[in-house]
Amino acid sequence: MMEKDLRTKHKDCILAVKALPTLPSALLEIAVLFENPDASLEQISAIISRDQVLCARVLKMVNSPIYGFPGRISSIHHALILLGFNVVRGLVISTSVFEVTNEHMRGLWEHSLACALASSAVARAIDCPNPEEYAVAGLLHDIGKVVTAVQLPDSRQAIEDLVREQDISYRQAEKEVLGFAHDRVNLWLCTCWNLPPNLKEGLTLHHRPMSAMLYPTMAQVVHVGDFLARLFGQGNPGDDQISALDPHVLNALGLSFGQLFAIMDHLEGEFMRLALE
Amino acid sequence: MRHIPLRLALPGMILAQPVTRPGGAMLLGMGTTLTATLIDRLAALKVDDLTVVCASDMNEDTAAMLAQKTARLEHLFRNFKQDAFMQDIKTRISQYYKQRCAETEGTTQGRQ
Repeated sequence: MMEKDLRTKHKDCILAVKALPTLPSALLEIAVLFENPDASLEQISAIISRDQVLCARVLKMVNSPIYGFPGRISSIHHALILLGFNVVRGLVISTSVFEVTNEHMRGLWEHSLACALASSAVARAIDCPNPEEYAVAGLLHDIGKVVTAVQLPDSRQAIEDLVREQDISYRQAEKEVLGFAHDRVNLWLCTCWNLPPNLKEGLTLHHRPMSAMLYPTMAQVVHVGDFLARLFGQGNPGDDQISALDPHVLNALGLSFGQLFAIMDHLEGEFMRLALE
Repeated sequence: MRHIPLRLALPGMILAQPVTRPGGAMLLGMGTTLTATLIDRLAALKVDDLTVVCASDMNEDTAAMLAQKTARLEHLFRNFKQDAFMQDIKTRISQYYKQRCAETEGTTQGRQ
C-alpha cells in the first residue's frame, strides 16, 4: 500500500510538468486545436510562429539532416505541410522539454538525436510510410528520463549513483529507485499531452517492442534505433552499455543483417553530418 | 595482403581481392569474410588460391581503429555474456567491422 502511495506521489510530481514555466503555452493551445477537426494549418502555424524562440528551435530541427530537407524549410507552415502536424508537435515538445535541462543532460539530447536519425533510417529501409514520425518517436523515446530528472532531482542522483556502483542499466536503476522506469513515465506524458497512439506505443514500448498491439512497427523501429544509437556511442543515454535487442524484432520488421549493416554504413556518414552541424 | 592456396584458407579470413571464375565472373566480393561453407564451395568450384587481408598488412591507422572498435564492442556487451542471442549479434557486428576495415584497406591500396 505504502509503495503504491509513493508511486502515486512520484507520478503526481512528474505530471506537474504541465506547469513547467519553460513549456510554452503554445503546446497547450495546439493540443486543444488538435482535438478540433476544423482547425487549420494556418491557425497552428500562427500559434507556433508567435513564440519566436520556439519557432527558431523547431525550424532548426526540421532543417537538420534527420528529416531529409536540410536547410530547405523556411516557415512553420511549410514544415507542417512537409512533415505533418504530429512531427511538428513532437518537435515542440522535445525542444521545449530539453530546454529546461542543463548541460548535464546534453548527452541525453545527443543520444535522442542519434536515435531519431537511426529510427528514421530503419523506417526508410523497410519502406515505412511517414518515416519522419519514426524520427520524432526516436527523438522523444527517453523524454521520461528528462522529465523525471527535472521533477525529481534527488532521484536522478540516486539513479546515476546506482548505475555507476552496480554497473546496471539506467532503466534497471530507475526501477530500483522509483519502482518504475522512463517507459512508464512516457506513457503518462503521452496521455497528459494527448499524443497520437502511434507515438504513444513507440515511446511506451521501445524496450518491449513485441508487446505492442496497435502500432508494433513504431515500437520495433525505435527499439532498433535505440540499439544503433548506443552502438555508435552517440551521446549519453545514462549508462554506457548496449540495450538488449529483442530476438524477434529483426524478423518482425523483415530486416536482414545485410540490411542492418547497410543502415549502419549509411548512419556513419549521417552522424558525421550531424556532428558538423 | 597475402596470396594463399585455398587449402590454407580459414573461416574468419577476409578477402582482399574478389574471387573470380577463370572467365572473369565474380564469385565473392572484396571484403567478404570466409566461412567453412564458403571455403567448401570454392573448393567445389576448383578455385585454387585467393588473396586475403591479414592484420599485419593493414596500415597502422586501420588496425588501430579496428582494435578500438572491437574493444568498444566488448565493453558495450559486457553485461550480456550469458545471453547467447546477444553474443551472436556481437560476433556479427565484429565481423562487419572487420569487413569494413578490409574494404577501407582495399580502397586505400587501390589508390596507391
